[in-house]
Amino acid sequence: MLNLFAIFFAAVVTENFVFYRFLGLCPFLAMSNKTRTAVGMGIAVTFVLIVSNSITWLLQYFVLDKFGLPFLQYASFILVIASLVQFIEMYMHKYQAALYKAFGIYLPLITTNCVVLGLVLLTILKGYNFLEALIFAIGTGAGYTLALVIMSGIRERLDLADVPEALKGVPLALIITGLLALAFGGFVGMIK
Amino acid sequence: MNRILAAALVMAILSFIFALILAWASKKFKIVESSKLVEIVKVLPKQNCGKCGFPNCGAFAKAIIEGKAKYGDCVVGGEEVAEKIKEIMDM
Repeated sequence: MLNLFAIFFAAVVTENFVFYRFLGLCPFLAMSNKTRTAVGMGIAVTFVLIVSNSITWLLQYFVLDKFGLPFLQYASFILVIASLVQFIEMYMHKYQAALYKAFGIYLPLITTNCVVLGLVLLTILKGYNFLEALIFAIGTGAGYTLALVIMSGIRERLDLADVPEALKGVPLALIITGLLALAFGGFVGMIK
Repeated sequence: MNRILAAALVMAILSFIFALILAWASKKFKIVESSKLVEIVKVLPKQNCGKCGFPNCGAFAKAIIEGKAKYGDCVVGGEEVAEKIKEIMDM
């Protein structure tokens, strides 16, 4: 039980995918303008993470290992992720039209979001069992959502601030990301 | 040789499964763009004046299809447009 909590806590805070591993920065910067889209993006990514991690775990241990095909890992995992994202895109186009419009190109780009591929590969690398993999995926999704929401909150405030011309937009966002990563660096070492 | 065959087979089966799921989803989540809606917008004056009580002509056409507005509610179009809308709706 404590082990599961440690995995979850590590994924959310100490080894946050954005601030510790610096994965998935492109959608992180693009979708953190408004809190509403940030939360939507976080939920979409979390869903993709949970489902794709479950499927790839089963795939790894019941298909690839069984037939001795470890080299298919990348190709088959990407196939799983791409199909899932396509599925979510169809669903959102139908039932969440407003959010679908707000996402624009970044919804299909979850396919190439390195958080997803990073998570499924790390899960296999760390040798987690199915329950641990599930908790790891949920924690990573929560951590990504947390990062997006923190960032969008800061950026919404910054819209009202007097920012030097040269730093407006992405440059300042990158500086803030670095500062947040430093802040999150304070958590490193809490979990061995 | 066997491994190559196994690899090809595994990828083929996986792709087939996902293709089936996506094919099912594309049917299930299909967006039906009503052709009547387009037809009605075509015959409206398209001034977006709002005299019918809806923000624009598109919203008015949608309201007609949903039964929330009457055919003659378009003030600018008058009788003429009401007749045309009736024709489209009776099709």
